[in-house]
Amino acid sequence: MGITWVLVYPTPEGKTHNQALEDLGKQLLAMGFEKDQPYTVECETYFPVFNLPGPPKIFHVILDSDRPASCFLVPDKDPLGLSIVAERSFMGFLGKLSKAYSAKKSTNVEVKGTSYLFHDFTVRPGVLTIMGSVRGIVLETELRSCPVLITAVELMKEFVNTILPTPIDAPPPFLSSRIAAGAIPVSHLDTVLQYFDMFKSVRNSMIPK
Amino acid sequence: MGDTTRNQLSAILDNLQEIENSLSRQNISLVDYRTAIQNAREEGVTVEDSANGLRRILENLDTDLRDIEKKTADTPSMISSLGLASFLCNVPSIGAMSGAAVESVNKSLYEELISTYSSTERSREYSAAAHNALAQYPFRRGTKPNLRPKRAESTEESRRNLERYIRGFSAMLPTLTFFFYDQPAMGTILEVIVDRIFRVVILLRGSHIEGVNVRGSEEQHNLGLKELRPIDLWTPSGLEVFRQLTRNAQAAMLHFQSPFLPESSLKNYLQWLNSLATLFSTPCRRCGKYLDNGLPPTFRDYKILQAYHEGCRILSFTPS
Repeated sequence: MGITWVLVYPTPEGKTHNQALEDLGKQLLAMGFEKDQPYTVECETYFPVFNLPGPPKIFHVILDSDRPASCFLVPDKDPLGLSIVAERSFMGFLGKLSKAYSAKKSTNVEVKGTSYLFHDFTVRPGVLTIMGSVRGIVLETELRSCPVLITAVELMKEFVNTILPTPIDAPPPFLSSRIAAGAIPVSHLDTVLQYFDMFKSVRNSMIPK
Repeated sequence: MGDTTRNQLSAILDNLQEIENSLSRQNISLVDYRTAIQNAREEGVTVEDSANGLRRILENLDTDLRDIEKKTADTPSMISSLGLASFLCNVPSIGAMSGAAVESVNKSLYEELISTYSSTERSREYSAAAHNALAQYPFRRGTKPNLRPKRAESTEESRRNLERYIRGFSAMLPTLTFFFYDQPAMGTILEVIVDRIFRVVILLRGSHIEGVNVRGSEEQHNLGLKELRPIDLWTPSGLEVFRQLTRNAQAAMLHFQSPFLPESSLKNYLQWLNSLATLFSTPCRRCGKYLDNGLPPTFRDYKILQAYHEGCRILSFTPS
Protein backbone atom coordinates (compact mmCIF):
# COMPACT_ATOMS: atom_id res chain seq x y z
CA MET A 1 0.00 0.00 0.00
CA GLY A 2 1.52 3.24 -1.10
CA ILE A 3 0.80 6.91 -1.08
CA THR A 4 -2.25 7.97 -3.07
CA TRP A 5 -3.21 11.41 -4.26
CA VAL A 6 -6.72 11.91 -5.66
CA LEU A 7 -6.98 15.02 -7.79
CA VAL A 8 -9.37 16.68 -10.21
CA TYR A 9 -8.13 16.65 -13.76
CA PRO A 10 -9.23 19.92 -15.33
CA THR A 11 -11.03 19.35 -18.60
CA PRO A 12 -9.68 21.63 -21.31
CA GLU A 13 -12.02 24.19 -22.83
CA GLY A 14 -14.13 23.03 -25.75
CA LYS A 15 -13.86 19.35 -25.01
CA THR A 16 -16.21 16.90 -23.36
CA HIS A 17 -15.01 15.00 -20.30
CA ASN A 18 -14.93 11.74 -22.20
CA GLN A 19 -12.80 13.26 -24.94
CA ALA A 20 -10.44 14.70 -22.37
CA LEU A 21 -10.14 11.28 -20.71
CA GLU A 22 -9.37 9.68 -24.04
CA ASP A 23 -6.70 12.26 -24.75
CA LEU A 24 -5.22 11.74 -21.31
CA GLY A 25 -5.09 7.98 -21.93
CA LYS A 26 -3.22 8.56 -25.20
CA GLN A 27 -0.87 10.98 -23.48
CA LEU A 28 -0.07 8.46 -20.76
CA LEU A 29 0.62 5.70 -23.28
CA ALA A 30 2.89 8.06 -25.17
CA MET A 31 4.77 8.79 -21.94
CA GLY A 32 5.56 5.10 -21.55
CA PHE A 33 2.73 4.06 -19.23
CA GLU A 34 1.28 0.59 -19.56
CA LYS A 35 -2.43 -0.03 -19.68
CA ASP A 36 -3.73 -2.14 -16.80
CA GLN A 37 -7.17 -3.32 -15.76
CA PRO A 38 -10.34 -1.18 -15.51
CA TYR A 39 -11.47 0.04 -12.13
CA THR A 40 -14.55 1.54 -10.45
CA VAL A 41 -15.19 3.43 -7.25
CA GLU A 42 -18.83 3.67 -6.16
CA CYS A 43 -20.46 5.63 -3.40
CA GLU A 44 -23.95 4.99 -2.06
CA THR A 45 -25.50 7.19 0.55
CA TYR A 46 -27.83 5.77 3.21
CA PHE A 47 -30.51 7.90 4.83
CA PRO A 48 -32.57 6.97 7.88
CA VAL A 49 -36.15 6.01 6.97
CA PHE A 50 -37.71 7.56 10.08
CA ASN A 51 -37.06 11.14 10.96
CA LEU A 52 -35.82 11.00 14.51
CA PRO A 53 -35.33 14.19 16.52
CA GLY A 54 -31.96 15.83 15.96
CA PRO A 55 -29.88 15.97 12.79
CA PRO A 56 -30.31 12.99 10.45
CA LYS A 57 -27.55 10.37 10.70
CA ILE A 58 -26.39 9.87 7.16
CA PHE A 59 -23.60 7.50 6.15
CA HIS A 60 -21.95 6.60 2.90
CA VAL A 61 -20.76 3.22 1.67
CA ILE A 62 -17.83 3.35 -0.72
CA LEU A 63 -16.81 0.33 -2.77
CA ASP A 64 -13.48 0.26 -4.53
CA SER A 65 -12.68 -2.38 -7.16
CA ASP A 66 -9.05 -2.12 -6.06
CA ARG A 67 -10.11 -3.58 -2.69
CA PRO A 68 -12.70 -6.16 -3.81
CA ALA A 69 -13.15 -7.78 -0.40
CA SER A 70 -13.71 -4.62 1.63
CA CYS A 71 -16.34 -1.97 1.94
CA PHE A 72 -15.82 1.40 3.55
CA LEU A 73 -18.48 3.00 5.72
CA VAL A 74 -18.02 6.71 6.07
CA PRO A 75 -20.31 8.84 8.26
CA ASP A 76 -21.32 12.22 6.96
CA LYS A 77 -19.74 13.97 9.93
CA ASP A 78 -16.25 13.34 11.25
CA PRO A 79 -15.27 10.90 8.48
CA LEU A 80 -11.69 10.51 9.74
CA GLY A 81 -12.61 9.50 13.27
CA LEU A 82 -15.59 7.22 12.74
CA SER A 83 -15.05 5.47 9.43
CA ILE A 84 -15.27 1.70 9.36
CA VAL A 85 -13.52 -0.75 7.10
CA ALA A 86 -15.57 -3.94 6.83
CA GLU A 87 -15.78 -7.08 4.73
CA ARG A 88 -17.79 -6.93 1.55
CA SER A 89 -20.37 -9.24 3.17
CA PHE A 90 -21.32 -6.31 5.37
CA MET A 91 -23.40 -5.16 2.40
CA GLY A 92 -25.73 -8.10 3.09
CA PHE A 93 -26.19 -6.86 6.64
CA LEU A 94 -27.01 -3.40 5.32
CA GLY A 95 -29.75 -5.01 3.19
CA LYS A 96 -31.31 -6.32 6.40
CA LEU A 97 -31.31 -2.80 7.80
CA SER A 98 -33.47 -1.62 4.89
CA LYS A 99 -36.35 -0.80 7.24
CA ALA A 100 -34.24 1.67 9.17
CA TYR A 101 -31.83 2.89 6.50
CA SER A 102 -32.29 3.06 2.75
CA ALA A 103 -30.00 4.08 -0.05
CA LYS A 104 -31.09 6.80 -2.41
CA LYS A 105 -30.26 5.94 -5.99
CA SER A 106 -30.28 9.62 -6.88
CA THR A 107 -27.17 10.28 -4.81
CA ASN A 108 -25.02 7.48 -6.23
CA VAL A 109 -21.61 8.63 -7.36
CA GLU A 110 -19.37 6.53 -9.55
CA VAL A 111 -15.86 6.85 -10.94
CA LYS A 112 -14.96 4.56 -13.84
CA GLY A 113 -11.77 4.31 -15.76
CA THR A 114 -8.68 2.32 -16.61
CA SER A 115 -5.53 2.15 -14.57
CA TYR A 116 -2.08 2.67 -16.06
CA LEU A 117 1.25 1.50 -14.67
CA PHE A 118 4.57 3.31 -14.84
CA HIS A 119 7.45 1.78 -12.86
CA ASP A 120 6.23 1.97 -9.25
CA PHE A 121 3.40 4.38 -10.01
CA THR A 122 -0.20 3.55 -10.73
CA VAL A 123 -2.34 6.23 -12.37
CA ARG A 124 -6.11 5.85 -12.54
CA PRO A 125 -7.86 8.49 -14.60
CA GLY A 126 -11.61 8.06 -14.44
CA VAL A 127 -14.89 9.78 -15.26
CA LEU A 128 -16.98 10.91 -12.31
CA THR A 129 -20.70 10.46 -12.85
CA ILE A 130 -23.62 11.37 -10.64
CA MET A 131 -26.96 9.86 -11.67
CA GLY A 132 -25.60 9.04 -15.11
CA SER A 133 -24.38 12.56 -15.88
CA VAL A 134 -20.64 13.12 -16.28
CA ARG A 135 -19.27 15.69 -13.88
CA GLY A 136 -15.54 15.65 -14.38
CA ILE A 137 -12.34 13.65 -14.48
CA VAL A 138 -10.67 12.26 -11.38
CA LEU A 139 -7.01 11.37 -11.39
CA GLU A 140 -5.77 8.97 -8.74
CA THR A 141 -1.99 8.63 -8.51
CA GLU A 142 -0.38 6.01 -6.34
CA LEU A 143 3.26 5.53 -5.48
CA ARG A 144 3.26 1.88 -4.50
CA SER A 145 6.77 1.78 -3.01
CA CYS A 146 6.44 4.42 -0.29
CA PRO A 147 4.09 3.85 2.64
CA VAL A 148 4.91 7.01 4.60
CA LEU A 149 2.93 10.03 3.50
CA ILE A 150 5.19 12.78 4.72
CA THR A 151 8.37 11.62 3.02
CA ALA A 152 7.33 11.79 -0.60
CA VAL A 153 5.29 15.02 -0.89
CA GLU A 154 7.73 16.80 -3.18
CA LEU A 155 8.30 13.69 -5.25
CA MET A 156 4.57 13.18 -5.77
CA LYS A 157 4.14 16.83 -6.68
CA GLU A 158 6.84 16.49 -9.31
CA PHE A 159 5.24 13.36 -10.73
CA VAL A 160 1.69 14.72 -10.79
CA ASN A 161 2.84 17.91 -12.49
CA THR A 162 4.19 15.87 -15.40
CA ILE A 163 0.63 14.66 -16.10
CA LEU A 164 -1.57 17.62 -15.17
CA PRO A 165 -1.86 20.44 -17.70
CA THR A 166 -1.75 23.07 -14.94
CA PRO A 167 0.83 22.41 -12.21
CA ILE A 168 -0.29 22.23 -8.60
CA ASP A 169 1.60 23.63 -5.62
CA ALA A 170 0.10 21.69 -2.73
CA PRO A 171 -1.17 18.18 -2.07
CA PRO A 172 -4.94 17.54 -1.99
CA PRO A 173 -6.60 19.39 0.92
CA PHE A 174 -7.49 16.20 2.76
CA LEU A 175 -3.87 15.03 2.68
CA SER A 176 -2.56 18.38 3.86
CA SER A 177 -4.25 17.83 7.20
CA ARG A 178 -2.90 14.27 7.35
CA ILE A 179 0.62 15.41 6.57
CA ALA A 180 0.38 18.03 9.29
CA ALA A 181 -0.46 15.24 11.75
CA GLY A 182 3.00 13.69 11.30
CA ALA A 183 4.63 10.69 9.71
CA ILE A 184 1.71 8.31 9.71
CA PRO A 185 1.79 5.24 7.50
CA VAL A 186 -1.02 5.41 4.98
CA SER A 187 -3.87 2.93 4.66
CA HIS A 188 -6.39 2.43 1.93
CA LEU A 189 -8.91 4.35 4.00
CA ASP A 190 -6.93 7.50 3.22
CA THR A 191 -7.56 6.95 -0.48
CA VAL A 192 -11.24 6.29 0.07
CA LEU A 193 -11.63 9.38 2.23
CA GLN A 194 -10.00 11.47 -0.47
CA TYR A 195 -12.60 10.15 -2.92
CA PHE A 196 -15.28 10.90 -0.38
CA ASP A 197 -13.99 14.45 0.04
CA MET A 198 -14.16 14.93 -3.69
CA PHE A 199 -17.67 13.44 -4.03
CA LYS A 200 -18.85 15.70 -1.26
CA SER A 201 -17.46 18.83 -2.89
CA VAL A 202 -18.92 17.85 -6.29
CA ARG A 203 -22.31 17.21 -4.69
CA ASN A 204 -22.21 20.50 -2.83
CA SER A 205 -21.38 22.29 -6.05
CA MET A 206 -24.48 20.67 -7.59
CA ILE A 207 -26.90 21.78 -4.87
CA PRO A 208 -27.10 25.46 -5.84
CA LYS A 209 -27.97 24.38 -9.36
CA MET B 1 102.95 -28.04 22.94
CA GLY B 2 102.92 -31.75 23.57
CA ASP B 3 106.50 -31.72 24.78
CA THR B 4 105.95 -29.02 27.38
CA THR B 5 102.98 -30.91 28.78
CA ARG B 6 104.99 -34.01 28.96
CA ASN B 7 107.82 -32.18 30.74
CA GLN B 8 105.44 -30.71 33.24
CA LEU B 9 103.93 -34.07 33.91
CA SER B 10 107.35 -35.64 34.47
CA ALA B 11 108.28 -32.79 36.83
CA ILE B 12 105.14 -33.48 38.85
CA LEU B 13 106.02 -37.12 38.87
CA ASP B 14 109.51 -36.31 40.20
CA ASN B 15 108.07 -34.22 42.97
CA LEU B 16 105.75 -36.97 43.97
CA GLN B 17 108.68 -39.38 44.04
CA GLU B 18 110.56 -37.03 46.33
CA ILE B 19 107.65 -36.71 48.69
CA GLU B 20 107.22 -40.42 48.78
CA ASN B 21 110.88 -40.89 49.56
CA SER B 22 110.91 -38.33 52.31
CA LEU B 23 107.72 -39.74 53.76
CA SER B 24 109.09 -43.29 53.75
CA ARG B 25 112.24 -42.05 55.42
CA GLN B 26 110.28 -40.22 58.09
CA ASN B 27 107.99 -43.16 58.60
CA ILE B 28 110.95 -45.32 59.39
CA SER B 29 112.29 -42.71 61.73
CA LEU B 30 108.88 -42.25 63.37
CA VAL B 31 108.05 -45.93 63.69
CA ASP B 32 111.43 -46.87 65.11
CA TYR B 33 111.70 -43.79 67.23
CA ARG B 34 113.43 -45.81 70.01
CA THR B 35 116.19 -46.86 67.63
CA ALA B 36 116.29 -43.39 66.27
CA ILE B 37 116.74 -41.94 69.71
CA GLN B 38 119.34 -44.54 70.43
CA ASN B 39 121.19 -43.72 67.20
CA ALA B 40 121.01 -40.11 68.06
CA ARG B 41 122.47 -40.71 71.47
CA GLU B 42 125.22 -42.71 69.91
CA GLU B 43 125.86 -40.05 67.31
CA GLY B 44 125.69 -37.38 69.96
CA VAL B 45 122.70 -35.63 68.53
CA THR B 46 120.24 -34.11 71.00
CA VAL B 47 116.41 -34.62 70.89
CA GLU B 48 115.99 -30.98 70.00
CA ASP B 49 118.20 -31.42 66.97
CA SER B 50 116.27 -34.44 65.75
CA ALA B 51 112.94 -32.61 66.30
CA ASN B 52 114.28 -29.67 64.32
CA GLY B 53 115.34 -32.04 61.56
CA LEU B 54 111.84 -33.54 61.51
CA ARG B 55 110.25 -30.10 61.29
CA ARG B 56 112.50 -29.16 58.40
CA ILE B 57 111.60 -32.34 56.58
CA LEU B 58 107.88 -31.62 57.11
CA GLU B 59 108.32 -28.07 55.84
CA ASN B 60 110.03 -29.42 52.74
CA LEU B 61 107.14 -31.81 52.31
CA ASP B 62 104.73 -28.92 52.60
CA THR B 63 106.52 -26.85 49.94
CA ASP B 64 106.73 -29.89 47.70
CA LEU B 65 103.00 -30.50 48.00
CA ARG B 66 102.31 -26.85 47.28
CA ASP B 67 104.52 -27.11 44.25
CA ILE B 68 102.60 -30.10 42.97
CA GLU B 69 99.31 -28.38 43.62
CA LYS B 70 100.44 -25.37 41.66
CA LYS B 71 101.63 -27.47 38.78
CA THR B 72 98.51 -29.56 38.65
CA ALA B 73 96.41 -26.38 38.80
CA ASP B 74 98.16 -25.23 35.61
CA THR B 75 97.74 -28.49 33.75
CA PRO B 76 94.06 -29.53 34.24
CA SER B 77 92.76 -27.49 31.27
CA MET B 78 95.17 -29.32 29.04
CA ILE B 79 94.37 -32.64 30.58
CA SER B 80 90.67 -32.21 30.17
CA SER B 81 91.09 -30.92 26.64
CA LEU B 82 92.71 -34.17 25.76
CA GLY B 83 89.18 -35.52 25.26
CA LEU B 84 88.33 -32.91 22.62
CA ALA B 85 88.60 -34.05 19.06
CA SER B 86 90.08 -30.75 17.99
CA PHE B 87 92.86 -31.05 20.56
CA LEU B 88 93.57 -34.56 19.50
CA CYS B 89 93.86 -33.46 15.90
CA ASN B 90 96.49 -30.90 16.89
CA VAL B 91 98.54 -33.44 18.76
CA PRO B 92 101.03 -35.10 16.44
CA SER B 93 99.89 -38.61 15.66
CA ILE B 94 101.25 -41.40 17.77
CA GLY B 95 101.98 -43.35 14.63
CA ALA B 96 104.45 -40.71 13.43
CA MET B 97 106.56 -41.33 16.46
CA SER B 98 106.24 -45.12 16.32
CA GLY B 99 107.90 -47.57 14.06
CA ALA B 100 106.71 -48.13 10.49
CA ALA B 101 105.20 -51.58 11.24
CA VAL B 102 102.97 -50.43 14.04
CA GLU B 103 102.13 -47.25 12.20
CA SER B 104 99.21 -48.44 10.07
CA VAL B 105 97.48 -50.30 12.94
CA ASN B 106 97.91 -47.37 15.29
CA LYS B 107 96.78 -44.88 12.74
CA SER B 108 93.54 -46.70 12.00
CA LEU B 109 92.93 -47.07 15.71
CA TYR B 110 93.72 -43.42 16.26
CA GLU B 111 91.37 -42.31 13.50
CA GLU B 112 88.63 -44.52 14.90
CA LEU B 113 89.22 -42.96 18.30
CA ILE B 114 88.96 -39.49 16.83
CA SER B 115 85.73 -40.26 15.03
CA THR B 116 84.25 -41.81 18.17
CA TYR B 117 85.25 -38.78 20.16
CA SER B 118 83.80 -36.39 17.66
CA SER B 119 80.55 -38.30 17.42
CA THR B 120 80.11 -38.52 21.20
CA GLU B 121 81.07 -34.88 21.47
CA ARG B 122 78.51 -33.92 18.87
CA SER B 123 75.80 -35.98 20.53
CA ARG B 124 76.63 -34.29 23.82
CA GLU B 125 76.33 -30.86 22.22
CA TYR B 126 73.06 -31.77 20.53
CA SER B 127 71.58 -33.20 23.69
CA ALA B 128 72.53 -30.03 25.57
CA ALA B 129 70.84 -27.92 22.91
CA ALA B 130 67.80 -30.20 22.94
CA HIS B 131 67.62 -29.95 26.69
CA ASN B 132 67.60 -26.18 26.52
CA ALA B 133 64.88 -26.21 23.92
CA LEU B 134 62.77 -28.72 25.79
CA ALA B 135 63.14 -26.81 29.05
CA GLN B 136 61.29 -23.93 27.44
CA TYR B 137 58.23 -26.05 26.60
CA PRO B 138 57.89 -28.45 29.44
CA PHE B 139 55.73 -31.45 28.57
CA ARG B 140 53.71 -31.47 31.71
CA ARG B 141 50.10 -32.41 31.98
CA GLY B 142 48.91 -29.03 33.19
CA THR B 143 50.64 -26.79 30.72
CA LYS B 144 50.37 -29.04 27.72
CA PRO B 145 49.55 -26.94 24.67
CA ASN B 146 46.02 -27.66 23.38
CA LEU B 147 46.52 -29.12 19.92
CA ARG B 148 42.83 -29.75 19.26
CA PRO B 149 41.09 -27.09 17.14
CA LYS B 150 39.24 -24.40 19.06
CA ARG B 151 35.54 -24.98 19.48
CA ALA B 152 33.71 -22.97 16.83
CA GLU B 153 31.54 -20.13 18.12
CA SER B 154 27.92 -21.16 17.91
CA THR B 155 25.55 -19.08 15.83
CA GLU B 156 23.70 -18.02 18.91
CA GLU B 157 26.87 -16.73 20.58
CA SER B 158 28.00 -14.89 17.48
CA ARG B 159 24.53 -13.45 17.08
CA ARG B 160 24.57 -12.23 20.67
CA ASN B 161 28.00 -10.61 20.25
CA LEU B 162 26.93 -8.97 17.04
CA GLU B 163 23.72 -7.72 18.60
CA ARG B 164 25.68 -6.16 21.43
CA TYR B 165 28.04 -4.53 18.95
CA ILE B 166 25.28 -3.10 16.78
CA ARG B 167 23.18 -1.90 19.73
CA GLY B 168 26.33 -0.02 20.77
CA PHE B 169 26.14 2.36 17.84
CA SER B 170 22.45 2.11 16.92
CA ALA B 171 21.88 5.54 18.49
CA MET B 172 23.89 6.94 15.59
CA LEU B 173 21.46 5.36 13.13
CA PRO B 174 18.06 6.64 14.25
CA THR B 175 16.15 5.57 11.16
CA LEU B 176 17.14 1.92 11.36
CA THR B 177 15.27 -0.71 13.35
CA PHE B 178 17.14 -3.97 13.87
CA PHE B 179 15.78 -7.48 14.22
CA PHE B 180 18.07 -10.44 14.77
CA TYR B 181 17.26 -14.02 13.84
CA ASP B 182 19.29 -17.21 14.30
CA GLN B 183 19.24 -19.61 11.44
CA PRO B 184 21.77 -22.36 12.23
CA ALA B 185 21.79 -23.52 8.62
CA MET B 186 22.40 -20.06 7.20
CA GLY B 187 24.01 -17.97 9.94
CA THR B 188 22.67 -14.83 11.54
CA ILE B 189 19.99 -12.93 9.72
CA LEU B 190 19.77 -9.22 10.39
CA GLU B 191 16.57 -7.60 9.26
CA VAL B 192 16.76 -3.83 9.10
CA ILE B 193 13.69 -1.69 8.63
CA VAL B 194 14.70 1.68 7.25
CA ASP B 195 12.34 4.36 8.48
CA ARG B 196 9.28 2.15 7.77
CA ILE B 197 9.87 2.66 4.04
CA PHE B 198 11.60 -0.58 3.17
CA ARG B 199 13.20 -3.60 4.79
CA VAL B 200 16.66 -4.96 4.17
CA VAL B 201 17.64 -8.51 4.98
CA ILE B 202 21.38 -8.99 5.62
CA LEU B 203 22.76 -12.49 5.89
CA LEU B 204 25.79 -12.52 8.17
CA ARG B 205 28.46 -15.18 8.59
CA GLY B 206 30.17 -14.14 11.81
CA SER B 207 30.50 -10.42 11.19
CA HIS B 208 30.97 -10.77 7.45
CA ILE B 209 28.11 -9.73 5.22
CA GLU B 210 27.25 -12.55 2.89
CA GLY B 211 24.16 -11.36 1.10
CA VAL B 212 21.71 -8.47 0.96
CA ASN B 213 18.18 -8.14 -0.33
CA VAL B 214 15.94 -5.09 -0.23
CA ARG B 215 12.17 -5.23 -0.30
CA GLY B 216 9.20 -3.02 0.39
CA SER B 217 7.91 -2.63 3.91
CA GLU B 218 4.95 -4.90 3.19
CA GLU B 219 6.92 -7.64 1.50
CA GLN B 220 7.63 -9.89 4.46
CA HIS B 221 10.55 -12.27 4.80
CA ASN B 222 8.53 -14.50 7.17
CA LEU B 223 11.33 -14.62 9.72
CA GLY B 224 9.18 -14.48 12.85
CA LEU B 225 8.77 -17.57 14.98
CA LYS B 226 5.01 -17.58 14.56
CA GLU B 227 5.09 -17.25 10.78
CA LEU B 228 3.33 -20.11 9.07
CA ARG B 229 4.73 -19.45 5.63
CA PRO B 230 8.27 -20.59 4.77
CA ILE B 231 11.17 -18.16 5.12
CA ASP B 232 11.67 -16.21 1.94
CA LEU B 233 14.85 -14.15 1.82
CA TRP B 234 15.94 -13.89 -1.78
CA THR B 235 12.82 -13.41 -3.89
CA PRO B 236 13.33 -10.03 -5.57
CA SER B 237 10.96 -7.26 -4.63
CA GLY B 238 7.88 -6.64 -6.73
CA LEU B 239 8.72 -2.96 -6.84
CA GLU B 240 11.32 -1.67 -9.24
CA VAL B 241 12.81 0.87 -6.82
CA PHE B 242 13.76 -1.89 -4.41
CA ARG B 243 15.12 -4.16 -7.10
CA GLN B 244 17.44 -1.37 -8.12
CA LEU B 245 18.22 -0.64 -4.50
CA THR B 246 19.16 -4.31 -4.01
CA ARG B 247 21.69 -4.03 -6.82
CA ASN B 248 23.16 -0.88 -5.30
CA ALA B 249 23.18 -2.42 -1.81
CA GLN B 250 25.11 -5.42 -3.12
CA ALA B 251 27.63 -3.13 -4.80
CA ALA B 252 27.97 -1.20 -1.54
CA MET B 253 28.44 -4.47 0.33
CA LEU B 254 31.42 -5.24 -1.87
CA HIS B 255 32.73 -1.71 -1.51
CA PHE B 256 32.67 -1.74 2.27
CA GLN B 257 34.00 -5.30 2.56
CA SER B 258 37.21 -5.52 4.58
CA PRO B 259 38.29 -9.04 5.56
CA PHE B 260 40.39 -7.94 8.54
CA LEU B 261 37.93 -5.50 10.10
CA PRO B 262 34.54 -7.10 9.41
CA GLU B 263 32.81 -5.25 12.24
CA SER B 264 33.82 -1.78 11.15
CA SER B 265 32.85 -2.64 7.59
CA LEU B 266 29.43 -3.68 8.89
CA LYS B 267 29.17 -0.37 10.72
CA ASN B 268 30.04 1.63 7.60
CA TYR B 269 27.56 -0.41 5.63
CA LEU B 270 24.76 0.30 8.11
CA GLN B 271 25.61 4.00 7.96
CA TRP B 272 25.26 3.80 4.21
CA LEU B 273 21.87 2.13 4.64
CA ASN B 274 20.88 4.83 7.09
CA SER B 275 21.42 7.43 4.38
CA LEU B 276 18.79 5.67 2.25
CA ALA B 277 16.05 6.70 4.68
CA THR B 278 15.68 9.84 2.57
CA LEU B 279 15.10 7.79 -0.57
CA PHE B 280 11.89 9.59 -1.52
CA SER B 281 12.57 12.95 0.09
CA THR B 282 15.95 13.95 -1.30
CA PRO B 283 16.43 15.30 -4.82
CA CYS B 284 19.32 14.16 -6.97
CA ARG B 285 22.52 16.05 -6.34
CA ARG B 286 23.25 16.45 -10.03
CA CYS B 287 19.92 17.21 -11.70
CA GLY B 288 18.05 18.53 -8.65
CA LYS B 289 14.94 16.47 -9.48
CA TYR B 290 13.19 13.80 -7.48
CA LEU B 291 12.34 11.47 -10.31
CA ASP B 292 14.34 10.22 -13.21
CA ASN B 293 12.50 7.79 -15.47
CA GLY B 294 9.97 7.13 -12.72
CA LEU B 295 12.54 6.25 -10.06
CA PRO B 296 13.89 8.28 -7.16
CA PRO B 297 17.65 8.72 -6.61
CA THR B 298 18.60 5.21 -5.52
CA PHE B 299 22.36 5.64 -5.41
CA ARG B 300 24.29 7.11 -2.50
CA ASP B 301 27.97 7.76 -2.98
CA TYR B 302 30.17 5.93 -0.51
CA LYS B 303 32.02 8.86 1.06
CA ILE B 304 29.63 11.73 1.76
CA LEU B 305 26.43 9.77 1.09
CA GLN B 306 24.93 12.11 -1.48
CA ALA B 307 21.93 11.05 -3.53
CA TYR B 308 22.17 10.41 -7.25
CA HIS B 309 19.89 8.89 -9.87
CA GLU B 310 21.22 5.85 -11.68
CA GLY B 311 21.69 7.87 -14.86
CA CYS B 312 23.10 10.95 -13.12
CA ARG B 313 25.54 8.80 -11.19
CA ILE B 314 27.14 7.55 -14.39
CA LEU B 315 27.44 11.11 -15.69
CA SER B 316 28.75 12.48 -12.38
CA PHE B 317 31.36 9.86 -11.66
CA THR B 318 32.77 9.46 -15.16
CA PRO B 319 36.17 11.14 -15.30
CA SER B 320 35.94 13.96 -17.83
